[in-house]
Amino acid sequence: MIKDYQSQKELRDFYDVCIVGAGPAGITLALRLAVNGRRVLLLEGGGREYSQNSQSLYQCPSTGLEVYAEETRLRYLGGTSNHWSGRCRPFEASDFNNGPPVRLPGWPIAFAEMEAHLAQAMAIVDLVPNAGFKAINPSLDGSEFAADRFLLSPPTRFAKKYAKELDETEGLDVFINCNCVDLEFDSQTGRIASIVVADYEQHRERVKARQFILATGAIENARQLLNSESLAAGGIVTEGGLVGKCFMEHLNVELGTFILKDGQGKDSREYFTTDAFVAQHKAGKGNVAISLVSEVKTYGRMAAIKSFFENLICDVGVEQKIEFITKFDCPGDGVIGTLIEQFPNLDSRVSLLPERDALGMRKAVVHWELSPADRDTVKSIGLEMAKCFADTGLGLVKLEQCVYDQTVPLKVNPHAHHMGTTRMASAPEFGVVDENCKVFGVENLHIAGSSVFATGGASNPTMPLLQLTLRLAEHINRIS
Amino acid sequence: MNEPDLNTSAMDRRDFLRVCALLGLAGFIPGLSQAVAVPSAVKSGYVVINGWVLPAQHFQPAHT
Repeated sequence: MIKDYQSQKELRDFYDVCIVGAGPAGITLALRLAVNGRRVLLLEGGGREYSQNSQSLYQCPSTGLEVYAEETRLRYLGGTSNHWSGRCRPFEASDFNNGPPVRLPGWPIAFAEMEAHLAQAMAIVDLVPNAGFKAINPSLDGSEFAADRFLLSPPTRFAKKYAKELDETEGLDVFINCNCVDLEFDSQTGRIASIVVADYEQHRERVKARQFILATGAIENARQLLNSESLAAGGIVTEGGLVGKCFMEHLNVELGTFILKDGQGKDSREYFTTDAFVAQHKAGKGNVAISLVSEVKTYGRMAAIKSFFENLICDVGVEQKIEFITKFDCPGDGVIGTLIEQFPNLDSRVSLLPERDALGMRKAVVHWELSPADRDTVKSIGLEMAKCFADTGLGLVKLEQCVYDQTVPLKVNPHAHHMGTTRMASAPEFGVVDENCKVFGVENLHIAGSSVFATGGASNPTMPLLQLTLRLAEHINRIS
Repeated sequence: MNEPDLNTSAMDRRDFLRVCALLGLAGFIPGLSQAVAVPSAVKSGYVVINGWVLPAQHFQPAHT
């Protein structure tokens, strides 16, 4: 039953499981646990629809690079799935087999743990299970880029798709406009004794449960932990710990433009770095999307430039060639976009401001920055893709200067893929949650969502986070 | 060895260094290899000029 906490103060005295956050992970968990006989409470801070009152609680400034933390998230039933684009690409074995080339380990679990839940996750986002992920173009010759393979969800809007189940599943209470404002840790028992919830009038009460799960996204999951004074007093959240650190995004970098060789098809193309590329360049992974402008010009300035390039081999002096090339600037036949892996970096982090929001919680701030290793990844992908263009006769690429010249600030945007702030690790010195997504040092607090990603690969995170969520649901069903 | 004269009136050396990260060519232009980083692209024979990634073979001097 979905109830509005603003007007219905009808929480039960005790639940088996309390889940904070009704986005894709929270909804999936709630339904999986309730149908297995657990008495489940699912809390959503927002309402059934978008409201500025709720959304303003997502205000979160960026230092460093701009994250657009308020605009990229949605704070109401269904969460950010309400504007999800639907692109699904699974993690690969190499995401789990190979750690990042930084002083932090990669995933502590085997790829098989993810793969076991792929078919169910695909069904949740309305993909045909085991259908196989599709390429829209052939691979490039050579060993560095393969055709990318992905599927598009309709996209699934979780609140709409699961409205009936949320309303009717026995044992499940869903409260909207019910905001978690504190986690109360009992250091004697090593457990969360209760959480504190509030409506928008600041009416507060405690919720007690056997197990608690945070499923509020990578920024808010960290914020909830950082905001809890009892977790800090109990030594669970410390300045030297990993909570909030290793914030990762997928880098949205426009590599440049290109001129397509005559006779090439005008369809878009998507490529993906191979494991051989990653190993050779010690780089992150990346999707490279080739998009043509609507009208490819074969006359005027473009024709002259194409003719020049096609006759590069001619017996013109080197200096004249270089002079010509340095003087012209053409829009090209299209642009090369990317979705590039960022390595975990302790200096990219969510932390708290002294200022408090309307519910009394300290506001969060995100500091997002790139490491030299990230710049190397961008440069390697740019240069190697450009060389592949020429090698395979596809065309010629003009890279943005910031791609190949690391003294120039990189022009980068986020993809709204927030990851890593409560990363999974085998020990607390490397992460916040263990292999079962349980917070180190707390017996009954788990975390769902992409905040537990140890590395982000270059796969859109929604489907992989659902795979982990299904795995977490199995674990909670076993222990509760 | 006949080396390309890049100090033409149309393009002085400073302008050249600003717009041209010359990868494969750097090795045989006196002084340039000190000023321009040479990434791995040099191995497979490409130059980057004004952002364009081009086969280095087209920028070899005519007589070497």
